[in-house]
Amino acid sequence: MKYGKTLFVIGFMLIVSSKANAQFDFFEKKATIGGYGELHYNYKNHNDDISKTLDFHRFVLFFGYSFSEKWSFISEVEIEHNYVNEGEGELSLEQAYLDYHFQDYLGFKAGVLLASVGLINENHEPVLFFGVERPSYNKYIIPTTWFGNGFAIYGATSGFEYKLNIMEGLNSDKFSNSGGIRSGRQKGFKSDASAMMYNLNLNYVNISGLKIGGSVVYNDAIGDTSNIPFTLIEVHADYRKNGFIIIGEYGNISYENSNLEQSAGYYFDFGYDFSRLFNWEWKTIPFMRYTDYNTAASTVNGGDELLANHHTAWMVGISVLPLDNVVLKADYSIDTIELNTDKTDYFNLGIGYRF
Amino acid sequence: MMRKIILFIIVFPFLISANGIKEETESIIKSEFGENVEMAFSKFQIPIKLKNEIEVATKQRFFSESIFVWLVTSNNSLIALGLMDNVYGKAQPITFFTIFSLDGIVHSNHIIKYREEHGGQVANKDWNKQFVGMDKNFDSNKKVDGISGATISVNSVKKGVKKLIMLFEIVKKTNK
Repeated sequence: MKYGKTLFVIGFMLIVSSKANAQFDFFEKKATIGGYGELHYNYKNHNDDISKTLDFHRFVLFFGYSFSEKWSFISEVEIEHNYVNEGEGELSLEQAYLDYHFQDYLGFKAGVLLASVGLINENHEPVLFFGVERPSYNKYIIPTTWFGNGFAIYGATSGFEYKLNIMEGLNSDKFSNSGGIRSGRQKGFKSDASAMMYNLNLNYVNISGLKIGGSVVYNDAIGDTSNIPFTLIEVHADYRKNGFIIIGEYGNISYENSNLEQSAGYYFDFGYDFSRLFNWEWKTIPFMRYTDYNTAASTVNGGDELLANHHTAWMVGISVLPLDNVVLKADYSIDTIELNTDKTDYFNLGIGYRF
Repeated sequence: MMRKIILFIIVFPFLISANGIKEETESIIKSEFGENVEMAFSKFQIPIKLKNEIEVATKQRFFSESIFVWLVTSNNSLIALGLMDNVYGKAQPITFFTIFSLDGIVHSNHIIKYREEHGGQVANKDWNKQFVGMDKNFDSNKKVDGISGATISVNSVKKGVKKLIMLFEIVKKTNK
C-alpha cells in the first residue's frame, strides 16, 4: 500500500494525457516501398577510339517498415548493369539497418550503413545530382556508393546535424594510384572487423537553402599484405535559392606506410532553373561543372605517377524534370589527363526516376 | 524525495510527448497574433468529392479523411484560420500547420513535428517563409526552393501546403 497512492496518480495522469491527445498521435505502422533507377547512353571518344554503350546502370528497390514512431527498419537492394555474371554487374545490399530515433538530437542505428561523407553518398538518387553519371570526384575521391556494416549515432540540434559512424574498414591491399581507396571497400561481405573505420560528419543547415559541412574518416586499414592507415577530410556546400543551384566539394586523403601518400580533388557545379524565369511546367536546369582530382596527388616515387592520375574536366549539361521524381539528362565533357595532355570527350544521355 | 524525482523522470516524457503537438501549435498562434487571442479547435471532415479533386490536382493523397482546424478570434471577430495536416516523408508523417488570413492567403507555415533522420531541414523557419503570401493562384512547385538532402520532404510539404490552400474556402465557409 506504500506505493498505492503514487501508482494511482501516475496511472491517472497517463490515462488523461493519452486520451486528451490521442487524436494527435498521427503515427501509424507502415511498410514503405520505393526505389530508383537510371538508364545511360555513354559516348566516349579517346583519340578517335570511339565507344558507345547503353546501360541500365542502377536498379534499386527500397523497403522500409516503421514499427513505432521511434523504431524503424530501412533497406536498399541494388542491381548494377542489369545482371550479375562472372564478375560483371553487381547485386548488393547497400542499406539494411534498424533505426532508433530517440529524439531529434539523438538517434541510433545499426546494420548496413552508408558512410556519411560528402553530399552524394547518402543522397545518390539520379534526380538529386547534375550529370548523367555521378561526379568523378564522387567516384575517385569519395568512393560512392560507400557502404558497410556498422552502427551510428546521429542527431540534429541548433541548426547542426551530426553523425558518428563506426563501421567496417577498408582493405588496404586494394588501394591504388589510379583508384585511391575505391577498390578497398568491403561492401559488407563477411567484412573484416579487426580495424574499424571512424567517420564523423557535421553539417550546418540553419540558413534556408544552404547546407554546409564536412567530415573526417579515419581507418587503420589492413589487408593480407599491407597496413595503410588513412585519413580522409572533406568539406562541402550546397546552396539553392531563387532557382540558382551552387554546389562545391573538396576532399583530401592522406596515407601512411605507402608509396601512395595523397589523393585530393574538388569540383564546382553551377546551375539555374529556367522554369522559374519562363514559368515552364518542367524544371529545366542547364549547368556547368569544373572538376580537378588526382588519386595520386603525392607519391614516394613521384614523377609521371602524379601526372598520369591528375584529371581536370569541364562539363556542360542539362537536367529536365517533368516531375519532381523523374529526370531527363544530357551532358558533354572533356577530361584531360595531365600526362601528355591526354584528352577524352564524353557525351551522355540519361533518364532517371525515384519513387 | 528520491522516489518523487524518479517518478517525475518516468512520467514527464509521456506528458511532454503527448501534449507537444497541440501545445506547440497554440503557442505558434499566440506568438503571431498575441497572447489575448482566443482559439477554437475542431476536426474538419473533408468532403469526398473535393478531396478527390484536390488529390488529382496536387498528385498527393490526403493523410486521412480529416484535418485539424484552429479558428483564431480577437474581440469575438474571426481573424485567421490555422489548418493542420500530415504528409509523408520517406516513411513517416510530417505534421505541418498553415495559418491563413481570411482572404485565403498563407500567413505562415510551420513544421510541427518531423519524425525521420534525414530531411529535417524543412522545419527551417526561413525556408517555410517561402509559403507566405501564397494563395490558390500560386504554383508552389515552382516558387519554393529545394533543400540538399531533403528533397522528398520538400516535395511532400509543398504539395501538402497546396492541398490546404485548395481546402481553405470550404473550411472557412463551414466555420462561418
